[in-house]
Amino acid sequence: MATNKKLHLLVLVFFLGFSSFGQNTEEQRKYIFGKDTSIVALLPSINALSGLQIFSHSVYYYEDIYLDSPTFDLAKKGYSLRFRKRNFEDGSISYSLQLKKEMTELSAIRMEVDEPELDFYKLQKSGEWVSITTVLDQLFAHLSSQNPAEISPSTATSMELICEWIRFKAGAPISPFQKIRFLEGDAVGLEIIQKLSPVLVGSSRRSRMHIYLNPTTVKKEWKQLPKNKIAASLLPEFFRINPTFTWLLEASVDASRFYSLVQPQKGNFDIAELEVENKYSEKLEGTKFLDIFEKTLTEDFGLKKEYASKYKQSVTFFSY
Amino acid sequence: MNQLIKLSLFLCVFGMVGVCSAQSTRGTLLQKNNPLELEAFFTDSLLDLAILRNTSNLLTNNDLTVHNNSPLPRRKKAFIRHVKHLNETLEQAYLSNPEMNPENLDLLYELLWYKHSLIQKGHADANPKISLRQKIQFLRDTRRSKRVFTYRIPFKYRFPTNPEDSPFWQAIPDSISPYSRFNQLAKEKKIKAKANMVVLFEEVSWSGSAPKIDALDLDLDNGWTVKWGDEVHTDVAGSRIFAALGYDVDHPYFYGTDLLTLVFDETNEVCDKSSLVAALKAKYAIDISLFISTYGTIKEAMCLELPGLEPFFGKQFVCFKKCAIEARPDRVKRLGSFLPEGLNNAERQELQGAVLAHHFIGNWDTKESNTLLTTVHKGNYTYEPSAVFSDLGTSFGVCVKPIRADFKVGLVNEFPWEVVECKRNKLKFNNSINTLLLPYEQASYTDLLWMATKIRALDEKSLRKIIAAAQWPAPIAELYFHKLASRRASILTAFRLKDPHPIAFNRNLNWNEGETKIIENGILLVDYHRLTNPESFLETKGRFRNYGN
Repeated sequence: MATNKKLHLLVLVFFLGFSSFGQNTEEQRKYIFGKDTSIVALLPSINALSGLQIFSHSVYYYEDIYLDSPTFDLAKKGYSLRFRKRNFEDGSISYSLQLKKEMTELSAIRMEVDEPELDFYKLQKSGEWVSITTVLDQLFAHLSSQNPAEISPSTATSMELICEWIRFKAGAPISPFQKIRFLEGDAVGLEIIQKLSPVLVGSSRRSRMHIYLNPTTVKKEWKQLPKNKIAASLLPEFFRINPTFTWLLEASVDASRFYSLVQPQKGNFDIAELEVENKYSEKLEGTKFLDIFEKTLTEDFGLKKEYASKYKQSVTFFSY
Repeated sequence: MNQLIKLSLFLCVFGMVGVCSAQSTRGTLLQKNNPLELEAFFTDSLLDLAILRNTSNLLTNNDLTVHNNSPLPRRKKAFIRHVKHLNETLEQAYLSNPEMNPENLDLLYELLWYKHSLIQKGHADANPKISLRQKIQFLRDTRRSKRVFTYRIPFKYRFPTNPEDSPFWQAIPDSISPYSRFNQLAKEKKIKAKANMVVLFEEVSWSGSAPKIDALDLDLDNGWTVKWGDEVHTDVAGSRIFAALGYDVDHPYFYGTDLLTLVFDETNEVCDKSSLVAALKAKYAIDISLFISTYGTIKEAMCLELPGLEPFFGKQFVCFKKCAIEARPDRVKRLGSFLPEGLNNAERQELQGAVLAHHFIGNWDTKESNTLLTTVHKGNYTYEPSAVFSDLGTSFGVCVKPIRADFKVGLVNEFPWEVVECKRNKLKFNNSINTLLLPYEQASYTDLLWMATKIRALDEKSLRKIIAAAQWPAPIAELYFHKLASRRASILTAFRLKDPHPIAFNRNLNWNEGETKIIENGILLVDYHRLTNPESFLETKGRFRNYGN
C-alpha cells in the first residue's frame, strides 16, 4: 500500500514537472453517483465537514461527437477524441477538438490536448467555403432530434464532409492530430487519423462549482497557504470579486446521454458523474485537497471512484 | 525558370500596393530580392503543402524539442495560435489556387522568418555564455569600426526616400511627434507603467551581464524585468530615440528612490533583501546592496499609502535608490533574433540606415542577440510580427577595457560632442560597435543620409522629453541634452541637410551648485551624488568590477 502511494506520488511529480514544459495535463478525479442527482444539493454541506467552501457558479450544456477508426484504434490505445460544442448560459458558444488519454488507477493526471478555436477552419461545401463549425452545427442539431442514432441523408453528407476534412488535415498543425502523430509515429499516426469518423454522439448538462478557502473560516493549519498564482485574465469572476479567497479545486456535475452511431439499435447510455480538478498553483498542496475532498465524497456520501472516461464507458456499454 | 524569378515577375504584374493594403498596419516583408529560402516552399511554381506543414508543425508543436541536434525553445500559446491562423490561410489559398499571390507569399515569408528566428533562439539558449572567440571578435570589430565607418560622399546620388513600411521600420506620420511614438508603441502592447510600481519577485534572470531579475505585475498577466547598474538611464533614452526614428524597441522605464516596491513570496528561495543580494552576487558578481534604499516587512501604514500592497501585508519587500524596469507584456511574444544577417535582411535600407541611429546614441553593443523578433497581439485574432532593437543601453559614452574584460556605459564625458567628421569628400564616424553586422557594414552613404533625415525630425521638445524620461540627475541631463543637440547638428552638417528647427547647444556648458563647479566647459567634474548613484557617472570601472565600489 505504502509502495503504491509512493509510486503514485512519483508519477504525480513526474507529470507535474512534465506539464510545465511540454504537455497539457490536468489532475482530475471522477466519481459516479448513478441516477440520484441529489448529490448536487448535498455538496455545499461539505463545507462544515472539511472547511472547504463551495460556490456553484454556472450551468452549461455541451454536445460531443466522438471520433474513432472502424476498428476503434483510439479506444484500444486509451485515447478519446471529440468535437465539443459548449453552450454557455450567456448565449455564447465555443467549439473545440479535444484529445484525452484515459486516467489510470495509478495516475489521476490526464493528458489533454485541445484545439480550442475551430471557427477559422474552413472546408468547401458545394464549391463554397464554410466554417467547419457550420457543418458541425448541422451534426449537433441532429443530436437534439428524437433519435440521434438515426442518420438522415443531410446528416450523412455533413458527416462525410467532416471525414474529408479530417483526411485532408491529418498532417496539419492541429494539436490533437500533432499529438497522435507524435505518440504513434508519423506514418501510423497519419493512417489512424485518416480513418477517423464519428462513432458516438452525446449531450450533457454540466453544473460547475468552485471549491475554495475563505480566510475568515479557514482551518488554522491552512491559514499560511500561499495564494493561488493565476493570471488575472484566467481568474474566474468570483475570485476577482473576492481576492482573498483561494481557489483550490473545480468541480462539475455532469448528466450525460450518449447514442452510438455504429450500433444505433442499442438505444442510449446515461452517465451521471462528478469531476473534480486541481486548480491550485501549488500542485502538490492541491492534490492533498483532492484527497480531503475525496475522503468526504466516498466515506460520507458513498460515491464511487471512476477511472474510465465517458467515451470508454460508452464503448464498453455499446460493446464496440 | 527559377521559381523566385517567376514569383518576382508575378509581383511586378500585381504590384506591391496590394500586399500593403492586405497586411493591416505591419507593412510588407517582401523585398526586391526575396530570400532564396522562400523558393523551398514551391515545387513547379506551386506551393508544396508538405513543406508548408513541416514549417508550421515545427513552429506549433511543443513536442518537437530538437531541430538538427539543437534544442528548440518552447512556443507560447499566442504564437502557436498566430501560426495556425497563417497556416490555415495558406492552406485555403493552396486549395483555391496553389500559385501564391503576393499577399500569401508575404505570409509564407513571415512563417519562414519565425522558423529561422526560433532555430537561432535555440542555438542562443544552448550557448548562453559569450565565448572567448566571440569576445575577441567584439574587440576586432570595435577596432575595425573606425575604418569601416568612413564614407566617400558620392559625386552624384539619388536622394533616398522612405522604404515601404515593414515590420522592421515604420514611417511616423507627421501628426505624431517623434517622442510620442514610444508611448504609442507601449499603448499598442498594453504596457502600463505606473508612477508607483509594485512588482512580485519571480526569479533571477539568466541573460545578459547587467544584474537583473524577472518580476510579475500585480495582474500576474504581464511581466517586468528589473535592472540595476549603469544602463538604467541610457537604455531608457536609447530606446526612446530609436522609437522616435521609426523602429520598434523594448520598453524600459526609470524608477527613482522608493518608487518601485519589489515584493517577495516566502516560498521562493529568494525571499527577502539578503537572499536577493546573495543571488545576484552569485549570478552576476555584482553587489546590488548599494542600490537598495529600504527593505523589511510590509506594514499597515505602507498598505494605506499604496493600496496595491494590501494583499501582501506581512510579506518581505525591497525598494531601491534607482532601477529600471523593462516591460514583458503578455501581448508580446518574444522569439529569437530578427536575423539582421539572414533572409536577405542585410539588404534592407531600414536596417542599413540603423547604423547611423546607433552612432547617434553612441551604442556599442550591436550584437545579433540584441535584435529581437516579436509577435504583438493587437486584439481580435490580429497578431503582427515586429523587429525590435533591444538592449540599447550600452550607449551615451562607453569605455571598453579589453585587458580587464570590462566596460562601462553612460559616461557623459566619454560621449563625444560630434558623431561625424567631414574631411574633403569623406565622412568619418567616431563611434565603434562590437559587432559589424552585415547591414551595418554594407550601409552606403545614401542609407545613412536617409537616417539623417529621420534624426533631423527630432526637435528640441522631443529631445528634452526623451532626456526627461531617462531621469539623469539635472546637471547630467542638461549636459546630455547639449551633447545630443550637438551630435544631431554634426550629422545634419555632414550630410548637408537643412535644419528646419535648429537646437541651440553650448559646448562650454557650465553648471554650478553653490560654490561647487559640477560642469565646466562641457565636462562633468564631480562624481555627482555618488551615494544615490552608486554606478557613478565618472568611474570607468564597469559591471565586472562592481562599478568601482
